[in-house]
Amino acid sequence: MKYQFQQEKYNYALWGALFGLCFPIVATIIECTQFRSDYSFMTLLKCQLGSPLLWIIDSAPLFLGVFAYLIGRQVDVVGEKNREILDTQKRLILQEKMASIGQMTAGIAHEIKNPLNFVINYSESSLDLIQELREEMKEGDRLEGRSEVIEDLINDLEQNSLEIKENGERANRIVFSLMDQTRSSEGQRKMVQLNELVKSNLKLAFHGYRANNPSFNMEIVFDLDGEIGQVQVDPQSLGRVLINLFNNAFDAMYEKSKVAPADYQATINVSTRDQQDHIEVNIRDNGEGIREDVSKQIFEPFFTTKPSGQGNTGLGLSISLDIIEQEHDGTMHVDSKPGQYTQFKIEIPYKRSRKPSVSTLVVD
Amino acid sequence: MATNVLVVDDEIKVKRLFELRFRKEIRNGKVNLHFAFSGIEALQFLERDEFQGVTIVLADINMPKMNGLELLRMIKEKFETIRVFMITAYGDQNNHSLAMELGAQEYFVKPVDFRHLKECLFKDS
Repeated sequence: MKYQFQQEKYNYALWGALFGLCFPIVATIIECTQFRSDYSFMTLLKCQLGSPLLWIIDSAPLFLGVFAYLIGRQVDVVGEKNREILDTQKRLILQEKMASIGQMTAGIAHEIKNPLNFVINYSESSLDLIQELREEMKEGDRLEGRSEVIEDLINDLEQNSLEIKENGERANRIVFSLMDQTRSSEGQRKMVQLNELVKSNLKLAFHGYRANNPSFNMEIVFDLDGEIGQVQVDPQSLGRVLINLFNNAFDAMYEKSKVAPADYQATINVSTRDQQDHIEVNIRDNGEGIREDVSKQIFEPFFTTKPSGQGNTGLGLSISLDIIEQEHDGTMHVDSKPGQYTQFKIEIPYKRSRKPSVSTLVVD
Repeated sequence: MATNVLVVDDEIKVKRLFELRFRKEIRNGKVNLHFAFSGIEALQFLERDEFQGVTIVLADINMPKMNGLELLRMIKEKFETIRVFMITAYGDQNNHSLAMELGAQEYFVKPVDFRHLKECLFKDS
């Protein structure tokens, strides 16, 4: 479609140029036929072509045609470049989004496999126990002396069923909470438990990160304000912001751990605060920090200090800032000391709802 | 002679699961299971373990403070002969390769196939 459109535009320009070129001839023909001139066609044509003034007037369309062609071509070049830039931007934004989704998926897989391990293995164990129970029952007459063994087997079976139920529910809660987070289309606000949103996204981000960087480990310190209940936010986009900030924190700590003394303990501190008219989320890592000259640029689109080609688009923080400022009417600030720490503070105006919650985010 | 196996996982509930899944082997005296609920606890156990003779460690990866891979590295440094099997919910290639590089015997992804696990454990014993 893009090619056809361009071709059409070039065609118009070429027709213009051709018309301009033919104009002196056409004008002569018109003069010969309309004004019944006594002069021959060739004489008039020579006259037309020989007179500089007429040549200029007559060939004006030629110049206009060529001019239109050149402008058209230039507009096309600029338009093409513009389209390329927009396409690249779209692709990078999508890439950024896919990266956070990919990481979340790895985190979810990790979270779900744990309860699944219990469900599957307790079921298999129950099958073994039933087999044992059958063998015991076969003894028939001598059943009496074995009642204790049978009682034990039944107790184990009962306990297994309870474990299966509990772990099945645990997996279900994880799926439900994530569905809840992703079900709403982006830009849709709903009431969520902020503390749970923060906790679950940190877990998902961590397990997702560890899938790519197995030797990374860290300590998590939560200081979550119990006063914060439900907050009206867009859980999907706020989740993206949190995962992005957590990732940056992990990167900063992981990089530092490679050069720091052996006793360095990577630690992330996550706190939430109820500040009456707004809520506050603080994410602080003790990683390598941000240099002062760099910290001025971190919210700029496409700015990155990380190697390109590894999914680093340089869009993470600029998109995050957009989500906080534009979608949540909030603010985001950074404070850092190179070599020591980085702290991001997110503030979002508080909009409490009296409606009971249907949306809680839980990841065990 | 019973094989002494140390299971390391921060989730206490795995104790009952392992005891049930190794029910027959425990009853037959083929296996003795021991449990540690952190990497540090596992190392302490192995250091004072001489008389128990643990020869196999089954370690989870995702544990706070010292994760399973760090534990694996330390066990391989201090107790060369102990075979370490990783049991984890991380199903990715990166964790798998690193574990094998660090000297893990085998890498099991949850949900664990205990029949396969047992085959691997008792293959050489």
